[in-house]
Amino acid sequence: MNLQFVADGVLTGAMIGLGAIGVTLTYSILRFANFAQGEFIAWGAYFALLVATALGWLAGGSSTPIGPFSFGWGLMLALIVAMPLTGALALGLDWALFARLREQASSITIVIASFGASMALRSLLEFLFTSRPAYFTRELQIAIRLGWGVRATPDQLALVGLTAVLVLALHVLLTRTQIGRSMRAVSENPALARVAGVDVDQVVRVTWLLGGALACASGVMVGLTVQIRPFMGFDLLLPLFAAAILGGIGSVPGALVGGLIVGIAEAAAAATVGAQWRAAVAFVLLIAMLLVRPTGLFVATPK
Amino acid sequence: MRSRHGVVFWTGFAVVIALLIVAPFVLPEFWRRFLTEILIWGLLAMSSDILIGYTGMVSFGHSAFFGLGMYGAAAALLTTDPPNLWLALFYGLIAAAAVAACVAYFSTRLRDIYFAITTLIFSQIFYVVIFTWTAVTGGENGLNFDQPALGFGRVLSIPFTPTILHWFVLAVVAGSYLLLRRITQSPFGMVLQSIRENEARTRAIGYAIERYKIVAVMLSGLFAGLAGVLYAIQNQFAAPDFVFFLVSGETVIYNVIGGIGTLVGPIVGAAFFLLLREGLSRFLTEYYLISLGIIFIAIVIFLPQGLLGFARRWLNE
Repeated sequence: MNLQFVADGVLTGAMIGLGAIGVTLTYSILRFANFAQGEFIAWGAYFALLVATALGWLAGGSSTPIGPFSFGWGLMLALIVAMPLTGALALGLDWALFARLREQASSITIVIASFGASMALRSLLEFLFTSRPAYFTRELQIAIRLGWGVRATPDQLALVGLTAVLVLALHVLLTRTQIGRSMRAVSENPALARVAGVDVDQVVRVTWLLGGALACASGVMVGLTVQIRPFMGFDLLLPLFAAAILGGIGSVPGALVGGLIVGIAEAAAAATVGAQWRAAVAFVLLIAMLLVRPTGLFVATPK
Repeated sequence: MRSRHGVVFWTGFAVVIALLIVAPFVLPEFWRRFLTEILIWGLLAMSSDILIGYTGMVSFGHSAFFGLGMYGAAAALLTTDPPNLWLALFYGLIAAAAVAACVAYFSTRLRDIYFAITTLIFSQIFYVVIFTWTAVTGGENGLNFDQPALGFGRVLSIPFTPTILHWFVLAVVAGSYLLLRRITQSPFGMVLQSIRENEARTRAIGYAIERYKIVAVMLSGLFAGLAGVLYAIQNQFAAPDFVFFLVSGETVIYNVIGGIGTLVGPIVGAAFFLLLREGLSRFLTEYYLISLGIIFIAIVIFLPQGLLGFARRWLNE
């Protein structure tokens, strides 16, 4: 059997995993499922596209590709600018909406509010950029043979590498820094963390920033390998939830592994039973998981 | 005091029903149809209120029950000649009940967000199956069929005009409302509300809460399926779009806008949301969702108990 589906699945899984980390962080700190996370992915991609276009225009066409890749320094700079921008968008949404609801509303209301926000954000993108797909680059790439009949383009390899770097950085942030310790404290017990002197508001801000920034990276990856559309984040939303729950809500490594499982399962389904059943396979997998171990792979079941 | 409350309720109920009965004579064709549609979506929202408002479980999978009711009705209407209304109702309810039983069995083992996501995932599985299994479901194009007549045995058969259809839908929705209201006031409904308030304590008192939850999901799914059958009869088609999770999301939106745990609130919410969407889409063409989302968010922020909760407080003051 051809192992190509593993390579395809790992790439899709990396994109889903990055987005799912945002879902899982928001859930563990703020206790609600954020339906607008998919919109951060789409907005992140469009932010990067805007910055990259502006840079290319300023430098008069500096977007010549580096080495074997289809993108140039322009896009890498754009990613670095767009990540905090998307984080700021998430912060802004929190300030305008979620912060007002956090005190008095039930978690159902907050989930529904995020549903409404996602609707408004998505239509706003469609309004601003129309629903015609956009591309970072129109370069074509030749896939390299990796052995065992598996091929991947240099772009795909670079993106998987980028995911690894981002997740590693996040892991260090969460385990080795003060703010990371504060975040874990709040996710364990918000009331107790506040009593112990943790600045909960700051933790909330950092959570949104991180979730937005990672969503942006995920959006740029989707934009580079597929295309940029206003609905790109919405289409990823259910896989994001599936990945976050598979890995165990609140667990960062879990979200990434969950993303990889969903990605590989979808690619395997496309390669064996047909692409039209792709979406269903991830869902069936998730339901099986929920029945056997409802808390997910990486979160211990409460005794 | 109690009897006075009853008098007020029944008077209000009678006035609203009377207004809805005469509405088709006053409204132009488009709005007559629109009103019937609001009643159908209201029934769907009301069915979901049994879970959200009374049992404290948010279902994001009501599109599956609604859609299966629709396709069940389609199966009956396509296989019998002449199409039979009661058979359509029967098939639709059986299909919705079967799906609800399956979803209930699996999803009620989980709580909170896990329950919501499981129902969502189930509805998406049904969506993919219906979308892909083109030979039976017509795939993306859906199914078209003829409208049945309102027949009573061999004695009487009245073809559905828009007005008669409106009355039929009104009768079904009003009947469902009274039935659901009775159920929520029954001992069974009390147990559901006690699960919402404190699940652990309800279990400790000795109620088998898993069984109650399964029945609640099935009850809710059955009425959602009923709404699906009505929609299929009104529009004479069934399409996979109605199984997609956006329909479930809108159902929850109707509940939150109108006020959960009131049964009438979700109908008010559906009417408000659909009228607003209709009005905005006329003004702003395809970009109406931006303003719709913002208005919706404003309602959530400023009227956290929904329109009905707000109206109630306003009337009390």
